[in-house]
Amino acid sequence: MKHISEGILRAYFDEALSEAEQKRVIAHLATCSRCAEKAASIEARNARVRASMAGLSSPYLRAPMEAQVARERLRDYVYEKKENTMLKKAFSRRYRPAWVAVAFVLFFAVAFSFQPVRALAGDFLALFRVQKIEFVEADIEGFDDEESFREVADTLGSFVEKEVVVKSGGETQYVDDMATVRSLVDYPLRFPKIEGETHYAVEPGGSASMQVDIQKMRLLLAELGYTAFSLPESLDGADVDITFGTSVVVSYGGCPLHIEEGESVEESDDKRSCTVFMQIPSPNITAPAELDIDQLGQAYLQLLGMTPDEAATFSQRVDWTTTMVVPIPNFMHMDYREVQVNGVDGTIIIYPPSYHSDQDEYMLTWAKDDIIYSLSGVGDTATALEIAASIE
Amino acid sequence: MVITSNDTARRVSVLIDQESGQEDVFEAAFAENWDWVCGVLLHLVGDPDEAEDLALEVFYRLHERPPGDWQTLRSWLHRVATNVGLNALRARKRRKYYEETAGKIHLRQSTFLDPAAEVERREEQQLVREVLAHMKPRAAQLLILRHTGLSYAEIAAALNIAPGSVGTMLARAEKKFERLYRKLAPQP
Repeated sequence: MKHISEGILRAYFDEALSEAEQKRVIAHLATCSRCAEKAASIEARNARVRASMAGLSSPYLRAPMEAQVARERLRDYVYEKKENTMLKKAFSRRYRPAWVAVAFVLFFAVAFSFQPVRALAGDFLALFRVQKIEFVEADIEGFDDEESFREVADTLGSFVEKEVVVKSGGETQYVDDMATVRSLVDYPLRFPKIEGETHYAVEPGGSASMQVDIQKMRLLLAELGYTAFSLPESLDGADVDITFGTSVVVSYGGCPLHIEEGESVEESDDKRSCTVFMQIPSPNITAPAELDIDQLGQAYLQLLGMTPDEAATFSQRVDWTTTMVVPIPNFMHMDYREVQVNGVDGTIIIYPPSYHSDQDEYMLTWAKDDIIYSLSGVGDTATALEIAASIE
Repeated sequence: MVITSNDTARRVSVLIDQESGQEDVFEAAFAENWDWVCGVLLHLVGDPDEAEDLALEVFYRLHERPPGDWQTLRSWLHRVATNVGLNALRARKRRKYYEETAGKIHLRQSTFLDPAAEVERREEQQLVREVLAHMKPRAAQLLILRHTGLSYAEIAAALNIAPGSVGTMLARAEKKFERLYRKLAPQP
């Protein structure tokens, strides 16, 4: 005899079934004690939960303010929020390069859940050199919106602040001419040909190192909601090191560059002509030997919301030692696709029009000759590729 | 997710055409929906001031990033409102809201016929909110939407799931709710 699934039974009590299905359920329950019992338990549970949920209403609380009044309040609210627009955040120090930091921390949070560490000091391999960047949509429960993402970013941010030792090669240098920039950097620089006010920022390289503290790692993962990963004790104390070279950020047109937290930005039409070009030498990552990279990669993808099957499929076509996989939370409504740029595969992300811009905004990223490039501005794919084509 | 450039062009042109009427559409949407959105949030968070702030956040998001298709406005609002409300409950959880206020419920009004029952009622409410905050967001949203009175079809539309899955997911969510409820309830 075929029994009735829990879902159908549940729907039956909500009168959400078709007449035919309803009849089938009634007929079956009359003859099957097992299903009748299950149905009774579902109905009882439904009633209990319904009572709990209904108990949330309070007759004593005041009614909300009138819509007309609220509409005025909304104007103030929007104004305050405008101070933190997406564009400004993208250019501010804290979020640049936004996804790289998140990707790295997540990656290493997972990295030490596999394989015991061979405790031989110095027996480390230069394991990764980024030659390609790939973006993947992250569908993580709890990442439904900017608010929860910001909370996660803050959690990760404070973890990194406490656990990662960052050594910087010096202060950012702001320069206005290309010749000086070239003299400050020891690798061949490339620039697009763009008209307009040009400013260069030279960010000295540095290193980020961390000694794994298992307890703190576990707490972090738990706080982020991941309870399925177990970290072996042997990983406690392992050393991870990331070194990165000098990077150059150039802005063309009127860009709000030196924005500190809390400073307000004036809305200006200049944003339409603001284009930002970054070049960052591929970071060098050293980590303990005996890491099962592929397993790591798949675990990372699963953290981002893929099923084990999806992760395995994706992982098959990715060389984890040369590809950096960066997550894009699906709430951000960004579209992205692969394009050819400078003779290599790149990815372009398009952010649809919003309050402060009636055009698309783009971010075009690619890696070539061990350097990661990123070009962002206002416009569509064609605009982006045109500018990229002028790079030399 | 891969899109073709045609999709982008079409989407952008639709938005530009709507630009002139966009503000009018928003004003109407605000006027029509402000009250019930506040209601949903009030039910969820239990505090009128907080509910209004959260409702402002919902309409701010509507203003900034409206749904591509305004026909789906109600679904969109349901989804975002429950989302925003649950985030607020979860933030409370992080700030140890419940530890701080446990046992400190006092009634400002002394005119309750049965103050003891009122205290008990509020403790129960706090527990239910804590349970919701501990559940996976999707499951909590499902419960809230169903108990707000939405049909299976409306729930499916709001959460972008197959209508046929609603029953199963609801059953699972309710099981989870009970399990957490028992776990979080203060021990006798």
